[in-house]
Amino acid sequence: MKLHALRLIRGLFPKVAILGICLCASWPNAEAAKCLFVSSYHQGYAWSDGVERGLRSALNGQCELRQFDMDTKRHKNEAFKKKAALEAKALIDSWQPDVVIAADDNAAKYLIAPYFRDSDIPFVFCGVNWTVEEYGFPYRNVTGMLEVAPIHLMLKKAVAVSGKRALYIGANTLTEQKNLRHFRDAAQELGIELDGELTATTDAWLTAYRRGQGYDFVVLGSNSGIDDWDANRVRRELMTVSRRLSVTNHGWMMSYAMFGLTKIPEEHGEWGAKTALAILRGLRPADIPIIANRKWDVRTNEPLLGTAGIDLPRSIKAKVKRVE
Amino acid sequence: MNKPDARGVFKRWEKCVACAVGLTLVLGSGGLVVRSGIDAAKERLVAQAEIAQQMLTQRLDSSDAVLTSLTGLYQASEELSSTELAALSQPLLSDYPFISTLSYLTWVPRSERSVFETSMRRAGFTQFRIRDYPTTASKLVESGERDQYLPISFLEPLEPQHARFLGMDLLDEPAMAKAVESAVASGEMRGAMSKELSPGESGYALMKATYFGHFAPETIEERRHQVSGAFLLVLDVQHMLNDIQDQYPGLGMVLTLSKELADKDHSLLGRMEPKLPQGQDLIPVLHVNRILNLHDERIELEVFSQPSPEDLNLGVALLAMMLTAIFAGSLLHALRNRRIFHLDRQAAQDAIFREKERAEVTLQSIGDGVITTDTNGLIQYMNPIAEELTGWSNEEASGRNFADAVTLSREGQRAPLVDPFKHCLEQFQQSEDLLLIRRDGHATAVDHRGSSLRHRDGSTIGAVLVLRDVSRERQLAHELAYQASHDPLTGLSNRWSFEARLRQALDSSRTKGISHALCYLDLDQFKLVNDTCGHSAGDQLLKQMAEVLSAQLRDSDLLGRLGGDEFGALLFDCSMERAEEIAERLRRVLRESRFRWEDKVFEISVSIGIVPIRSDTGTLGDVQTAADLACYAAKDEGRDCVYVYQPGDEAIAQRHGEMQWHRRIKVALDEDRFTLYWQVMQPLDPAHNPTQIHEFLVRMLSPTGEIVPPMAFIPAAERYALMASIDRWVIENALEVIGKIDAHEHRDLFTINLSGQSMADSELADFVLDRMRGANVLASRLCFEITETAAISSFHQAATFIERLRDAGCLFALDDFGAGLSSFGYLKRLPVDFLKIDGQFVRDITRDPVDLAMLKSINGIGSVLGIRTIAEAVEDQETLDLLKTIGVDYAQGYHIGRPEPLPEAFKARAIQSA
Repeated sequence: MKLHALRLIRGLFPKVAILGICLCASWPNAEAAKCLFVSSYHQGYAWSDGVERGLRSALNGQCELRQFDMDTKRHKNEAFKKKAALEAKALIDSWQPDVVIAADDNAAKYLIAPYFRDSDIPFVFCGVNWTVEEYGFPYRNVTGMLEVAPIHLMLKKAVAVSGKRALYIGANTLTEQKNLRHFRDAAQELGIELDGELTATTDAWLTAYRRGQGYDFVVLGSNSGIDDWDANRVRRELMTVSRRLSVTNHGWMMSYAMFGLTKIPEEHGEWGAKTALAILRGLRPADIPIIANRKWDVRTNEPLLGTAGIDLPRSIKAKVKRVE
Repeated sequence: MNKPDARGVFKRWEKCVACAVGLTLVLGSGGLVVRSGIDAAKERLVAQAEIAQQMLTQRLDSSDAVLTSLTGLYQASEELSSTELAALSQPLLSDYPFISTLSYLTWVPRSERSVFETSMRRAGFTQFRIRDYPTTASKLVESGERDQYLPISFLEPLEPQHARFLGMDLLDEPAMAKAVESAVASGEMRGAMSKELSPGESGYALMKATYFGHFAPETIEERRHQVSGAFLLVLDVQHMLNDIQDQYPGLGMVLTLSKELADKDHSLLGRMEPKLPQGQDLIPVLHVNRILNLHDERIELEVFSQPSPEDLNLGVALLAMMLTAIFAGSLLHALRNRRIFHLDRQAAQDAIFREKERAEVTLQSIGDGVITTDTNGLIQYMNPIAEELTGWSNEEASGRNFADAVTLSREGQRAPLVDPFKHCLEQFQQSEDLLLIRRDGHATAVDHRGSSLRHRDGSTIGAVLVLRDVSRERQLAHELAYQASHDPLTGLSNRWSFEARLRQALDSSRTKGISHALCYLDLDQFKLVNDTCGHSAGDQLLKQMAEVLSAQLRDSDLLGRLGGDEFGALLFDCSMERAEEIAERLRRVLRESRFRWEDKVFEISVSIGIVPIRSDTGTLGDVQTAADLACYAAKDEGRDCVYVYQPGDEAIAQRHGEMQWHRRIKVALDEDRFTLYWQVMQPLDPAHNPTQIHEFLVRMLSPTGEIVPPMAFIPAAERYALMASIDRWVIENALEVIGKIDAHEHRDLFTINLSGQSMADSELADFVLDRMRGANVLASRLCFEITETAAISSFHQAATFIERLRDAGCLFALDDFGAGLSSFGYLKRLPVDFLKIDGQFVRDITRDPVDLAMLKSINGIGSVLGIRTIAEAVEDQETLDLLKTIGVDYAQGYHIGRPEPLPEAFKARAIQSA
């Protein structure tokens, strides 16, 4: 009997071993990788929606995706922002995602920088404007794509059409403050005289716009952060007062600007997704340098141009996307 | 002739060579077919290699076109932003999927490094630094101080895993730097290994320089001075090879950089293993190399594939090997046959030589004289016996005409044959007695055989004559003939020869009208002498009587002893008057003579009957009967008288005893007063002749049931033509007896005697066959004994009878051989199975050398003719032993077994069988 049992064990051992090896090998696949997308803003915000669209398209179901919106565009006070960041952190702690994609500056500022510096959880940021120096990036667990605008190119084209005096108008937000700073640097390099007005209301924004008609052209920053923004009123007002060229880098501002080199939010989402997948495949965040977006569209607003009586050069019109 | 041993036709080394050659041919044929298949596969591989080369060249040309477009656009544009480059690059990469990455390298002098790096960081690449060309994939090191840099400032597609290439300085890598320098100096596309930049393990980078200004400078110096950067394409070599293999799945490829600049470790650009089914390890792999020249670089394409089993034509190869094997086998077989033919011919020649020697020796030692001639009858050869017979030596006779050396004459004729050569050739089948007259005149009785010598094609090339000294045989034959025709006691003609002469006389009377006379003489006192003085006295009396009578007759007349004390005198060409006169003289002389025996003196008288033989005389039987009647008539008239028979004298005959016998026999036949005896014949060599033979004998019963001895009624029955009836009775009853014998005992043979009268019965054969069927007797168990006298007297009827019954399966024995005519010549014409040697030659063989010689001669002839011999009258063991020694097959006589009544014999057999 003993001999028989030994033979049985000997016969079963290789099979059990093989079964074990197979189970172990298939273990990581038994539970899909988890990706958490933390948006600084909210759904319905055009930029954020574009980022999310790019992200989901690029992930294409290759990891289990959850999304957390911090909604810090509509709630600007610091407490809300910190509270949203803590909620995101709590989610990260409880869900333990394999990678976190964080969009735009507030997520970087309120979530990554205070809580996940050099942590074991990799982070991919996107939509962070111009620079990450203020957040101390890069960390060993953080990489991503900066949101930059083709300021030089846009200013060169505006100068070529109108002149070298310009007014920058935007919402009085952290992002716009950074944008204005970069515009001023660029204008200085190009020899452009640039003034700036950051506003908090629609009236103030319209007042600034009317004042801008005294410059050679107007640079429209983002209106995100102006809580009482009245789009119809603004459009009607612009159709009456616009006489000078207005330019912008934001696609959603093309309803109010005549010419734009607009950034593409999907590019950020796609990069965030690609980088997250690369990390899931084994690449470390430190091996992936932080890069900047490099895509934009050339767009014109023909009604406003017609109202102002401005005829853009043929070289610009040949490539533009027209906005009705 | 000794046939050569087929196994030994070839020597061992020849077999080895043949096997080696055959094996080489078989393998060679198969190899040729496989070789042709391989060649075809090689040709196909060459064609595929050409296509692969074309595809690779096409891709290199396409890359050149892409680089030319990019640099051209760059030169023509005032400023080409990264967005515009990306917009340009993406469709290019989509259209040319074998290009893995497209980069732009910015030419940065050391003095402008800082500004350049700052501008890149301000553009959003916050970590941008000019870095060394990586030696490892995971670590990027900031470049040290150099005069100039060529970092990657644009990369498409920009993927996370490629992003770290941004800022990588290509001038840091010697091979790449050399390619860059060449590209800058030439303004043309140049290539270099780009293992680190490639998506796979290896890759190849193509680059083309851009210059400040709208047009590329014309001189090398200007180009070096005005260089602003370069476009770089990294080719996905595996993808390129995949494209080819998609088209040719069985193709394997290795792409290597073969110029000296290529580091050995980096020389492999790509490798693609063929997609082959398993289990083709034994099939060789074919290789073809092609060179792709790219300016000062040589890209070597090695294409290889493994032919499929179908390509190798294995089936055809096998068939070719089989056909070659058959051909080689046939060739070897033909060679073997040829060798055997030579050996056969040599063996045949040896055999012929040996046969010739043997023939010569045989001819030298043969007992017959052999003479060969050419077609003209000129003697070519005589053997020693022929020399002795002719008196001519071989040397003397050679070249002479046959007739000069060989003189032949018929026995009894003095004149020699005119053309003995022709006679021998034409008459050799006829039995004739020839004498060979020797050179010294001595005559030798010879038998001759002549035959033409013919060539294989049938043409005559000469003749061979065989002369056999038959002096001894002929002497014996003469003696046998004499004994067959003469009464051994008196020396007178016996009944057979007397009857033969009588038949001749009858013929001559009928044909020539000559009258003859026949006298029958019967001694009146013979029984008295026999009874009183014994048989010896009787014999002596008969001898004396023969001498007395002979002296009274002409030489031309014939005196014969017809049996017992009966004599006959045939007086040729004799009238009845003269015949009466002679008969009277004979009676008187005998009457006057006296017979003395010891102290007794007997007067002798004779009764004589005379019958005329004329042209109207009836048959032989008629005249014999008439003579017999006349003789009895003379006895009836008181003996010692002469009675002349006259036609119509029947009344006289009826009063006489012979006629009484005739009546008695007929009555006995009617009353079935006959009975069967049999006497056994013993095989002397049972192992050779296992069959025992029983001879049926007939006995007549008197009305009172007493046995009448055969010699009392058979002569009368023969005389009065009653033997045929008696024979039929015997046949019928004997067959009935045989049929009753146990059907399982088929070994024994039974013989039935047939008389001469039965031989003349044309219906007897049907009678025998009918009775055989009726008694259910196998013909092979039946043998008929006929005397040679009976057979010869009715030869044609006898021959017909014998032929019919032999066809049915019956056997025949020639009875009393030697007692009658005994011509050996008849033996050849009478198809008999047994030869019963007459007892007179057997009885005294232990004492009489002549009888022994005669018996041996008869037995020898029987042996030669394939006839088994039976010795009659064996009366003692000594005789039996001698017969065994001589080789006689069977023996019969009182010593073996007496004639016995049939019922007792039956009982004996039954007991024996049980």
